[in-house]
Amino acid sequence: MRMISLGLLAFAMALSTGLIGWMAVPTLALMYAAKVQSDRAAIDAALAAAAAWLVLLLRMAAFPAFGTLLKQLGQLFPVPGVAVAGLTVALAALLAWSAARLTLGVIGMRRAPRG
Amino acid sequence: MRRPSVRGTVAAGLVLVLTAFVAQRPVGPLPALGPLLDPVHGIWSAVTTAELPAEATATIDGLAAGTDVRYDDRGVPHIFAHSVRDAYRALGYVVARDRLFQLELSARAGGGTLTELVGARALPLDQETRASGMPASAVERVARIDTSSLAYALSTAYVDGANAYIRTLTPATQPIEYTLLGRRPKPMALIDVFHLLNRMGATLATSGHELTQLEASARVGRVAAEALFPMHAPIVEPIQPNGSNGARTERTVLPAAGAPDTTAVALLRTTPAGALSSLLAFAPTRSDDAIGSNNWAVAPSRSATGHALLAGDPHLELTLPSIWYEAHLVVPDTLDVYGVTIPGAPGIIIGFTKAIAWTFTNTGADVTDFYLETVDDARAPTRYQVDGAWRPVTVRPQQYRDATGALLATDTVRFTHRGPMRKVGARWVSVRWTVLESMRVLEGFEAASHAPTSAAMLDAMGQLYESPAQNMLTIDTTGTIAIRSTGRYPRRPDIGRGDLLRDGSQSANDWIGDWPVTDYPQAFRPAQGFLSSANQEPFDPKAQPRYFGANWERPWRAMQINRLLRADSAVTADKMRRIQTDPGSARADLFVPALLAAGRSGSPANAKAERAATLLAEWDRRYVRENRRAVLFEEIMRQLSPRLWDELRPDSAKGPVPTDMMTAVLLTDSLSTWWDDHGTATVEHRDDLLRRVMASALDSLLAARGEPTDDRWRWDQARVANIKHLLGLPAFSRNGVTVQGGPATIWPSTGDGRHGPSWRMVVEMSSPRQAWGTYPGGQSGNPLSPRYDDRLAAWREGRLDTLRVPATADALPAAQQRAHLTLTPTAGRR
Repeated sequence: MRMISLGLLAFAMALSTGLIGWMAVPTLALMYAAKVQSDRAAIDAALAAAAAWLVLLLRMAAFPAFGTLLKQLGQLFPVPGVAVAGLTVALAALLAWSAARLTLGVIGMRRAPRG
Repeated sequence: MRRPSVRGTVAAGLVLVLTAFVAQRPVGPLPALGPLLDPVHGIWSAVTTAELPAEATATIDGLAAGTDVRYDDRGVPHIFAHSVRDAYRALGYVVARDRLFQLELSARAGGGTLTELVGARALPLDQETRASGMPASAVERVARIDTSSLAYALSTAYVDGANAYIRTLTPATQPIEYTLLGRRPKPMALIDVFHLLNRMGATLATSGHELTQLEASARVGRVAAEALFPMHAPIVEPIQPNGSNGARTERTVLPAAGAPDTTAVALLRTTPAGALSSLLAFAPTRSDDAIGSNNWAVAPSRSATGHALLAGDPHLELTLPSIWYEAHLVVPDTLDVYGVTIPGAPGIIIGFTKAIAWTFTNTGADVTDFYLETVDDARAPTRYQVDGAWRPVTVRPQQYRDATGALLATDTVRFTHRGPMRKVGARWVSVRWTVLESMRVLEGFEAASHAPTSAAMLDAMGQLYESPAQNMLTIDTTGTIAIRSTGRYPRRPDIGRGDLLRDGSQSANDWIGDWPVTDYPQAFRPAQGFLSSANQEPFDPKAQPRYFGANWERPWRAMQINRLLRADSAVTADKMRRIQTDPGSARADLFVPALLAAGRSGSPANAKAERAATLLAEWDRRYVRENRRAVLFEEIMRQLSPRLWDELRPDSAKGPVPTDMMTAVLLTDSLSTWWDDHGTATVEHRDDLLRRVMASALDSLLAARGEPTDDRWRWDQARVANIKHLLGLPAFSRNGVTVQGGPATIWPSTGDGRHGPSWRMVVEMSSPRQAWGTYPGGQSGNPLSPRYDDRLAAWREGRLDTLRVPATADALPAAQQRAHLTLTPTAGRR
């Protein structure tokens, strides 16, 4: 069940990235965490985001120019091109995890008994 | 769900804020990471546009009928349109499709708005551009343009085409440079065409004569200054043939250095040379070797096939993407022109039709003058004096903004009736420059595309082209070869000189008109059967002694080209190609014998100089990549200049240095006092100094490169081409390209490797016409595209591609077609 939910979330993140852009990732993660309110929601969101952007990157990797781009990114940035690809996936994961984790925290605090 | 810890929640919040911040906002040199790394819209998406799709369609407002664009296997678009306007619309579209970032960057460079694209780092450049008066001139010229003219119609069609492409762009499909900068493309405007033309004018400006004369006079007196930086080249190999069978060296005895000219000294005290040179900033300071355009043509009587041949070889700054873009425009029964255009310039600049072919080199005539103005307020003048009366200064406040619209800086640009005025030391100096006043440029290129003969082409250019002045060489199917140095040349009052600072308070110092076309340097079907130009003085001063410019480009390339052409009465297209990369050097041929003679003579013997002479004697005087002796010759020449002309640089400070053409003249006067090195106690003559320099140069090379057998002595270890991306990004640049050729060869290599042959073309006016060409780079401006630098290898080797010129869309064989673009009118908006 969790895998299906993860897959659906990743699919939604990939689709919405294409439609809206990178901001869709934390937004969806926030909505996901608010919906499922599970301890694993933050990790799941991060995994789904990473998977979504990895798939999108792999889609780009099908183009012949991808290798050239990786090489040139390695010259543009002070890290190898593959590391830039890693940073891309990490950025998505970080955005999703932090948004989901913050959401869970806020919800938890609102639910906690006062005094 | 367990209750999340407060600490964890706060940490997650902080991570989110930080991550979102770097994703949303630029940090330091890094653009915002979110849009940059977005795998659909960011930098990764650049891979999707690296190749042209095999089939594509697009709509353009104003297009009258469907237009077919076939890209051949070299990435060249062949545009088949039903009207000339549609052809220009399509040209704007395809140029933007391949070179949009270049198109915007060039326009912004000419408009002084680079900061709005690349940020505050471009502020000094923008301030310089605006102070040059170019952006203001573009505004005025757009306001004055005749909206019923053909030039206006074609320019707006081109702009419409470019904008039709720009409108299709999303962040995912825009050029990669925009994504890296975190920007979006701006629509093209008509004024951008003028910005680009101004920029080209600045690139080709040669206007340091006033400063050179002034500085030299302040050091060695006016008589010596005029001899060292003469109005006429002492080695005469003119563009307009003079009937000679070779270069003529005027037997000039250079006067000795005299007492400093007190007027010049006083003037430099109030207007320091350093500040004066800032006036010339729009005329970029280049090394002598950075100038290197060549062209030549052979009449049917001297060609192997009996058809006229033409070779074009303009040299410019080497960039990626290249300054040139190849295109072919066809309108049945109206237009069929193939050649290169500059992104942003509507029209084919250099190329050929079914009837004619043409190409240019820069004339280098003096079309810029400087005036010392008398103003009412030395700090912020509002009036300047002419003939005792005050005239208002036109004051234009300037604002510089970044991409967000935030104000970066302000300043003020002032104008007299002559042009922009700037403060130089304690004085105000105004500039008059033909480029700022030119209304007719594009009309000339358009007319050339329709001209039935070379004579008609030159006549049209004479009427319709003003600047920058170019040596226009043309051939046609009737066998005509012809050249004319075309442009607007001002006539000055009194002695007619333009290389002296003039008093702006007297209207009598203003230009008094322009040269008539009949007086331009020109030749039509010359008896010698060939023509050439290589930026040298166009006239033989014996035939035309009037002032046309000063301190002319050295004649070495012209001498070498003419030598090769004179020696061959059965020239072929392939021989024309080989001449473009000929490694021989008229300069080396002149200097090396003198060095050998000096190195092997002398008392007491100088062992080092003798060894240098022995090594130099092993050289065949050809600058091929593997040669190991050219470096020695160049090191000798490099060290010789400052020691020979030390009188002009007594304090080793920067100052004017005569060209090696003057050194060559001085070789004939072995006892001249100029040979004396003032840094020594003894008095040197020619061979003393040459020996000393040879020994010193050899020492330097042994220390830097080891023994002469070492690979570090190879010429390709000394000189390379460095082809920079427009933003200077190393990842998108191609540096260290080993090339053939040396200083003053037909393919001159520059010290920084930043200039060189920008478009090589050979055309034979046979039936059907045949043409070959290439440039360093490729048709695409996308660094990820295989078409970005696919021509570099052939260019480096001196090879040319066969240019495909299908007369109809279907005439391009499928095997030679790379992509197809169909352009259609926007529904209901023809």
